[in-house]
Amino acid sequence: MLTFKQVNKSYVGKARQLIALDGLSFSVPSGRSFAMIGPSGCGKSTALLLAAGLLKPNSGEVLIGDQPILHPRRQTALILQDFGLLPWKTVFENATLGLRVRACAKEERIVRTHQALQQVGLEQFAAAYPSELSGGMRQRLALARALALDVDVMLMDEPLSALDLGLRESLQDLLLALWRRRGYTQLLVTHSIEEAIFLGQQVLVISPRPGHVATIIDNPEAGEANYRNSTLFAARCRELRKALLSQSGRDGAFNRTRDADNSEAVTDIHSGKDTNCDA
Amino acid sequence: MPRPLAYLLALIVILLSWQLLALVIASPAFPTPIATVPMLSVYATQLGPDFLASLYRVLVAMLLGTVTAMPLGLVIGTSSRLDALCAPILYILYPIPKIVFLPVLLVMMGLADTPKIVLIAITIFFQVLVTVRDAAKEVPSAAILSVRSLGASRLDVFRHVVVPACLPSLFTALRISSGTAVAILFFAEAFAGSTGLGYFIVDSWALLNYPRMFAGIIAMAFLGVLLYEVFDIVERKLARWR
Repeated sequence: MLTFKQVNKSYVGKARQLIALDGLSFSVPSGRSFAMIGPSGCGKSTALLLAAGLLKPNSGEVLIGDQPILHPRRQTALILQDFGLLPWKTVFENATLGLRVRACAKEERIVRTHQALQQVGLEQFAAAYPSELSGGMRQRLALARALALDVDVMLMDEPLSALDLGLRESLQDLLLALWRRRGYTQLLVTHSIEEAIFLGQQVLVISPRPGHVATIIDNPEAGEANYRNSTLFAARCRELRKALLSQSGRDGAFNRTRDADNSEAVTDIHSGKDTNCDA
Repeated sequence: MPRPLAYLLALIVILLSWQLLALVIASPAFPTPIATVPMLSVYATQLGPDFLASLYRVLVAMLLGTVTAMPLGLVIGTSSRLDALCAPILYILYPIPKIVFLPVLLVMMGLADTPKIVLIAITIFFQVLVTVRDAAKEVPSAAILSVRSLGASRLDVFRHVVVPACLPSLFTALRISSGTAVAILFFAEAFAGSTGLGYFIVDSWALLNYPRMFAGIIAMAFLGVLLYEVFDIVERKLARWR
């Protein structure tokens, strides 16, 4: 179980202190897949870095099981928005890096890396460099790097935001299939309403900065076969869209006086690139 | 076009222009290539050892400057606290032309190889330090964060992320400063001692033997090209992903 308990996190900026998270609390039970959605700058990414142990909260606690997370943890994988691939390493070297820094025995490392590349369909590209791959293939490589490790928590920050719709849906299917096969606890940060509903058994709607959980949408059907084409899926997308709009509607004015960056982020969601399931 | 062919073509263009220019200028201090090129074989027994002496000095100096500056640049560039401390020192020392220390070094270290090597090494040290520091600052934080999230130590991050990310900048710095290094070498050898291409050139000048002097200049140009190519080859070996 991944738990956030009244987590506060602020950064000291150049001109002022920036409060990213203010009393963020939720928990993802073991083996479940949750999504987190909210305007950009609401602290979603900060929450993921806290969960990965790369940041420490100012107050409150981030726990996995009953263990507070203050350092990166071996069984947690993090996939960032731009994948964090190393351009100077081949596909194989990128995928094997996690095992390598963990001083895994060479034979085992090679076997597990090939398995991971096979699971994402990249085994023929082992000797290529990331610059020779398409966007979708790079995304799959980032996934393989995480899969090569024996992880029980998978954290993803807008992993599919750079991809076009068709590719996005096929990778969403891949994410779902891998999660069901491996059974790890999954937390996905996204901007996309459909993605949140497709992959999140619960969707946590985060308020504009300083971030906290504004609404939770229960979506237990996520992960079922063909869910994307069901009427229930469309209804859930509508529900989530409404929750997001009421969030930004309420906080928008409050926000503009407080912090100009946030109102931009709110319009981002308003503009509705991601609400096409609503039709 | 293959590299050797490109060089051959460039050589022809340069020699032709030189020949034309020399005919126009018509001064004994500016001999034609037809008068100069044969001197390369006439003085080969002197030019050879002098060339090797110069090559040795400049290579050792550049290596010395790089191995001292590279780790320092990486550490300063990745630590904002250390950078705040070191940047002002760097900004004050970097623009000083290091050649002004030649007399000091000669007094302290004599006329042999050491002061020449040290002078070039100091110059290279600052060029590499500044470039590598800047490159280390620009390493994308996503790459560092995702490697750290895999459980990498600080040393792992250096080895797998920071060092390879800075290699292309290092080699750019080395290629650019190889010109400066040869210039300083010339000055140091002309000023003190009796070996090296710098000495060969000013010695020819003193003898008023201009074709011999230009043979020395050709050898020095070749030294520069050689350095440039060596760095290019090493970079392609080390940074194959580019």
